[in-house]
Amino acid sequence: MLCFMLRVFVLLGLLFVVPNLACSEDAYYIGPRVGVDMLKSPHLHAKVIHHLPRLMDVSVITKRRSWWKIKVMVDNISMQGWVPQGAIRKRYQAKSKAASSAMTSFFNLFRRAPSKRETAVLGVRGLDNEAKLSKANQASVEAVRWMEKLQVSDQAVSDFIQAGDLNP
Amino acid sequence: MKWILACFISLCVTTSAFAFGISLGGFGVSNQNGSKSNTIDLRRIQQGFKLAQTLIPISDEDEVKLGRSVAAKVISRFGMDNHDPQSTYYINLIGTVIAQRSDRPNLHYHFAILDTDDVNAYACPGGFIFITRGLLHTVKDEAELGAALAHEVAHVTERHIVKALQHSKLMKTGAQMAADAFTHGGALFDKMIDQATDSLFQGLKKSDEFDADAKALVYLDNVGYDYRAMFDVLTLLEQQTKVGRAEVLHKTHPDPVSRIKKLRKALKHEHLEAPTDIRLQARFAQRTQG
Repeated sequence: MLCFMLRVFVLLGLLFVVPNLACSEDAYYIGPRVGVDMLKSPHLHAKVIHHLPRLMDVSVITKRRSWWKIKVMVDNISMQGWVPQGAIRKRYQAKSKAASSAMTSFFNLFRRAPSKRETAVLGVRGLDNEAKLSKANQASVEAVRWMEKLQVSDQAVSDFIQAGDLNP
Repeated sequence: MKWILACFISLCVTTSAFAFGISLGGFGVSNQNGSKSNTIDLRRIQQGFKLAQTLIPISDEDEVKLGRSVAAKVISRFGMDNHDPQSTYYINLIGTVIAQRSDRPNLHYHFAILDTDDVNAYACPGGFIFITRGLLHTVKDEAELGAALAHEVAHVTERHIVKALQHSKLMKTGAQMAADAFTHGGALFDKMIDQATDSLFQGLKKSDEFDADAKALVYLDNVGYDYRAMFDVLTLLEQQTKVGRAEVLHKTHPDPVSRIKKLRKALKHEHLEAPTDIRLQARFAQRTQG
């Protein structure tokens, strides 16, 4: 009887755990201890857009040989760029509440397999355009930061109102 | 035989657990990046139905996050005019004074000049406001510049773009998914940015524009500028449209003549006092010389 119960438990375990592992969605992060530079284009000598620290979460957009195009959120602003494949580590997202629950595992049996979010490899001309766009994006992000840094003091506002004879 | 029996019992247990789970609530959540999940969440489906009646709230903090990205898109389209920091500081002073006397004074407003000769202005969510170099060179005094800025501030105080986003199909995804998108970014947040940018470049509802004009009138009066400047700006815009310098504005805004008519009606309802004569033409000329 004990043996029979053990078999039931083993089968239950297989039903719950295996689909969960098989279907968990991949998340990526920066692996190297010193972090990695995110580049404008997939070349070693390309311009550095931003330095990404270790363990930073990234989303992979495109893979091109040993270079991966990724997207990160820096100061709540979305940035895209290229990093060497070796700098990216994969982790399973089994830590979310429902993903780890047995119910979800069972239900996952009936769902479609996760779709690979990979886009077609761009041609050289496309890459050039993308590089131009990322340059513009980077400049725009810097411009927004500059806007936010530009603050007018209360004293300056007060003087401005007084000089113009406006309503205090 | 025992193995078959064990398999049968296991399946029975899991099936009943699954049925019990459905009756309790839902399964699965989206991943941390807010991208689409492959699991079904009954709670979200339920939320989807509820959305038919209620709008997903967007906090000030989330609005600013969205506004940053939309502002970056506006700048990447036109470029920012950094050649004249004095003028930028000047419009920040005017804009801040107006914003402090608006219906939403606690938000931090940021003003900048876009590097284009087209006559137009843009208000991104979260208080990021742009006027074009063309508009700066078209207006004749500080009150008129204030009128243009007050109109844009009114779009922010009335959350016109945010409301447009809230009513869009995009936000029918569910409150939790929207909240996740604001927190973690991801594909849904990118779509929200695109949606807000489209609203900005394709134009808001006509009623929103009329509403912003009427609010601008009140804000100008609150500050002490001659509120008739609002009418003068609209007259200038009409002239600029005729000579082809405000093509984009003409496409995205109602006709200036109809705006003036609506504004006259609004003026009667607002019961403002007699206008001041404060136009500050000399200060405007001095500060925008560069």
